[in-house]
Amino acid sequence: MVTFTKDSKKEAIIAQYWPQISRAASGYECRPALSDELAQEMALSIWRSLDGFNKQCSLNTYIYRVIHNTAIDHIRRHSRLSEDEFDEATACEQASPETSALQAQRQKQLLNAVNKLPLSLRQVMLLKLEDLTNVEISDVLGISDANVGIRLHRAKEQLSKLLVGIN
Amino acid sequence: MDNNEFEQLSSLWQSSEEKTMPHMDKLLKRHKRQSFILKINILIELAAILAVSYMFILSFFQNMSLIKQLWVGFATVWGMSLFVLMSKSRLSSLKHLKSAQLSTSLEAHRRLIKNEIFRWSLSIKATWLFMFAFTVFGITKCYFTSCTGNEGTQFAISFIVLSVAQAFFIRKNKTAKVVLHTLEE
Repeated sequence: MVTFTKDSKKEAIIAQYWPQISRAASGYECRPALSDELAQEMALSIWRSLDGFNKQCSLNTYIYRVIHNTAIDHIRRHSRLSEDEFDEATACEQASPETSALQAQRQKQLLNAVNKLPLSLRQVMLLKLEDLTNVEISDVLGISDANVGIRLHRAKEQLSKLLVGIN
Repeated sequence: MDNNEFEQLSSLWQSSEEKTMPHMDKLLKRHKRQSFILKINILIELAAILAVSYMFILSFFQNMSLIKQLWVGFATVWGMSLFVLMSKSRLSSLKHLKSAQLSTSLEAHRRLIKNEIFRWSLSIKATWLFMFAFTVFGITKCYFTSCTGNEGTQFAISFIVLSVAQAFFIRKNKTAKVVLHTLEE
């Protein structure tokens, strides 16, 4: 087992993965306040899980696994919205007239579309958007390569439709 | 969606704005505070159970009326059974929470949410039973002895509080089931 005895080492790892943590939190939770809270939960989970890392997989895979399972834990505890309410909540997040930059607008549209994917498809999509290979995704989620392929195909199809719908 | 389009989406995704990174020491302190609150809650429940049990034992020495003795007896048995079942389920959940599995396995989350559904269902059944016994106690008391207006008001307030609690439990149970469905979809 690898021991991350120094807090500074753990903090460095969290800082290194913070952009991914931040994006995953937004991908799983569209409500801004809860999204920030989820990102913090993810950081805390990584901190606590690093001592349990036993090199059975790469550190990258392990960290993504912790990130995505923390998101599931968050859904378990904070999923208080029905699908309809969810749509209303995300509608508030649609690009506002003040959003001048086209890039930011497109990012919000992508985020909204990702948020609307069913959980099983959202998980693979979020990992694929982070450039993980299918093998890595199967390692993170504990599902077969073939299953990843199928989910990814469906996720891409649904994402295309959602993006067309938004545009 | 072809590979090129997806790569564009991927780079768009990765270029999104970051959140502010939290201070880990503050985060760790907050986590410790939450664990402390959880332990305090368990202690409060235990103290309430002990207080009701004490009242039950005391009722034998204080020549309480049979109706009151039955009522306190019911409350003691009800509270203890609920506490034992709840604690058993909580212990099982705590085991999952303490193991590293929660960070690495979806199955651990399913087990946790199933435990949570069990606890909410138990609370709902227990509250129905309590409301029923409470109603029986109220009616019996008014039938056999005199009932003042003040007692009637107290009964009504208690009933409203129980109904609100029941509505809360039903809502929580329903939400937990929705979450389980989401996890299993």
